[in-house]
Amino acid sequence: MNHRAPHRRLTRAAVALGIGALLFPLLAACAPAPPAAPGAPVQPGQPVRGGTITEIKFADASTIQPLLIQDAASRAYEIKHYNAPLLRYDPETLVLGTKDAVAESFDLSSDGLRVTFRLRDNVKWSDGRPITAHDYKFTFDKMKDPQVDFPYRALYARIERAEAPDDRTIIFYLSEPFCPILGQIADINPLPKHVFENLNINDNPLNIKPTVGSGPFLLKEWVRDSHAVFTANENFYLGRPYLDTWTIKIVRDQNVAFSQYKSGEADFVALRAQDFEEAKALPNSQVIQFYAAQSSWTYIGFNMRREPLNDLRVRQALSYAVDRQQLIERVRYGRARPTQGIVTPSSWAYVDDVTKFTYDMAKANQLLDEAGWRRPPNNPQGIRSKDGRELRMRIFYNTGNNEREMIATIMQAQARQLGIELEVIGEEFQAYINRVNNTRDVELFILGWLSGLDPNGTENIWSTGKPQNATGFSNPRVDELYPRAATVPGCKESDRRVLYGEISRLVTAEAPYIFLYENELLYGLSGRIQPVPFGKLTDASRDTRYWLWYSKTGR
Amino acid sequence: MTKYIIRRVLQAIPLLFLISFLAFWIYSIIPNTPFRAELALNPNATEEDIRRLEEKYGFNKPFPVRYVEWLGNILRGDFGRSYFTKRPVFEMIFERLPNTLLLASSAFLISLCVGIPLGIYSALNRNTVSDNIIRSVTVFFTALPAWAIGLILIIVLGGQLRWFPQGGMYTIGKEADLLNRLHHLALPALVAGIDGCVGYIRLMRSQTLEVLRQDYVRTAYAKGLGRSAVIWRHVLRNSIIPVWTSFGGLLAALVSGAAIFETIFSWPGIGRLVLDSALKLDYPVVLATTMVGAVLILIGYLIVDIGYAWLDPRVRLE
Repeated sequence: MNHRAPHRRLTRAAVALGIGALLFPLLAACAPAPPAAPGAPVQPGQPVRGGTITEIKFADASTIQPLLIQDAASRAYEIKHYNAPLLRYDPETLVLGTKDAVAESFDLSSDGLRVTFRLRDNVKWSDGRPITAHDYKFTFDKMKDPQVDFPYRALYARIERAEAPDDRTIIFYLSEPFCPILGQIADINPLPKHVFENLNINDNPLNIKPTVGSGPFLLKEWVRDSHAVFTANENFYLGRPYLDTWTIKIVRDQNVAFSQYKSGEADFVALRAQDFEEAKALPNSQVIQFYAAQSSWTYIGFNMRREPLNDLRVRQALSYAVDRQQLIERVRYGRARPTQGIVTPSSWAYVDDVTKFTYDMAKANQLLDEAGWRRPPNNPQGIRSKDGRELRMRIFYNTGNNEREMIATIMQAQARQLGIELEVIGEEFQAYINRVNNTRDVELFILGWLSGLDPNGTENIWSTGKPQNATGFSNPRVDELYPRAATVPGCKESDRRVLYGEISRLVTAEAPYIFLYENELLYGLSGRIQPVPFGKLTDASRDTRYWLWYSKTGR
Repeated sequence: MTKYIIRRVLQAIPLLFLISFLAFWIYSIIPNTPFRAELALNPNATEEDIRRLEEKYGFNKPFPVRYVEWLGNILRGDFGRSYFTKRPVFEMIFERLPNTLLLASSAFLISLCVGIPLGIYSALNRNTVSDNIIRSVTVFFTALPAWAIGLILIIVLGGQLRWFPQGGMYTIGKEADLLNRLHHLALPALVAGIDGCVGYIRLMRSQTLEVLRQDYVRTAYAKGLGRSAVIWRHVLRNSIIPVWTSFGGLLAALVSGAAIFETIFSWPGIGRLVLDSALKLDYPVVLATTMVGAVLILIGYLIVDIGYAWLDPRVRLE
């Protein structure tokens, strides 16, 4: 790609300029211009057809069967090959609607129990056959089929059945109203019924070598743990992508990945915070940076079931002892922003008036005094104690995660200033997760949370008794508010926002976490490629319109 | 010899059973199941989904039942399917094993071809400038971890000088080009080779010095044999025996250490498959790979034992 000798590059440039001079009047006459042919001269801002992009991913996909996918890496493959959602999020407004989606209209019945979608005409599979309502019904039925290992069946429990009265109408019947249901239905990526009808979904060669797709690119070659090559789908319903091929290279080591990006072996890579400034300064490189609209944060969790963390004052004291901005500088090179609530600022449900813990060691010390944890009278720097018991706890993180290890040691130093002895313990990830979620033999733990655009996803961590409620947080009002927020009549975001705001205030007041920060998403992209801005969506979203990306040079 | 090989193979069977039991037992005591681990990471997974999958894949059955079922399937040639890809494990392993063996054997050849002559040369020129240089370089490479050497070479030789590709087995689209493949193989094989090589230099040097002190060498010189004849006929043959012993272990180390080289060189081999599967608790893959690895190691040691008879006629295999 970028390995050509300089003289060849010059020759190509001269030829391109020559052709450009000859063709310019012709092109200028044809406005609005169709995509230029490969090798044709490029006008600024005019999309060119042709060319390739090589993207680096750090993990390979497991499968490209949409009904079996459990990991983000597979999802990244899926959204290239299968990409025909009934609704899409608008990358700018984040409104779920029919723009660029397969449904041309949809209707949620007034009782909230029936959603009807009317499909666009002329939406095709890559083999030219039409994508019909029967494909969606077939896929939904397979999701419900106990023989299929679809991992998220319970998520669709509220949809009782689907009906396809004709080729262009699909109706989903719900057992109860549920506002996030549209987002869940939009997540259904249809399978071609005519291909999969008589096949075992769990096990068939098409799961790794699909023949028919609906997405902008089609999987052509996949050498596991090495690379995957996708080529443009001529029949993509939003028009053929500008790029001819999209190659994914699997590079595990982030140093090597960045080195490949720098040398031009790769065009597109997620950047580490420490590489960001260097990537920005490189010639022929552009950086993409934004905060995604999702519930995402890094936090220190407290096991509230245990002493002394069952005392609000102790949790508050620890929360006041963290200087988030300084932590962000040290751990994330400044590429993150502090978080203080259960909904991040990018979300429509964000509210600002929650309990905030800004760095205040005096207050922290005062709270611990009030809680009865006293410094030794003869040693004002010593460990606090109460009823003859010293204030000692453990803070856990998963080994191999340098960021969390740094947070743990910073927290240890801060706690020591408060007269709390924190023992830092790193554990292998599976053992660590088991400790946090199953045995609960833990006091403080560092983890990250990531869930989608709808704040309903956070119910799993704040409702009483939910398996992911690692802190043991329990508040009857919160338990009551989550279902209400998910079933607000009319499902208006403004109405739901009020309820999630109240949840956020109730949660933060009890300090079950030290909310630390939300990461900025950082990517390096070759200057040769013109992207379409992600808006607030992540690159793994199928709504990011990457089929409109083009190579400015046509190669 | 045939009788010996048959006996050794028969002896290996109980050993393989023991390995299979230990491997299965170790994974059975991990408190998490792959599906439960998934729950922690994915807000979309519910307790109900987790339980359904755990039941389907037999995690609710007692350990002995699960072990016997698994073993029975293996004896019938069915290594099971990955929990995540749903593909037959055997297919997944044999898709990658050749890549690992190619890298390991290339590295092995490099370490032999460089390590043995340098070790002998170093011993024969003991305490000279060249011996000191070889020893210092050896100490340097022993102290520096192989992955660090790999990273430095990728960034310098691959990234800055562009002499070598920075990873992968071939340029995408050129899988049939042998030269391209060799170009991609060179750097990872060299790095993995250096790793094995430093051990050989040290071992060979000390063994050669040891043999040079033996009476039969002195006798050979006394008989009037020339230096090269003594070295070729007596020293080399005798000093190489302990090195030969290490071959079996080295092959195992190269295959098991493959995960590191495969990771930094983006080499799609078995090491990365094991690493990924272990992290995801994809037991069918991890267990099958353990068994395939055990068989390979046993074959390695069998070859070593047979080689003994040829190198040292005092060893009788029958």
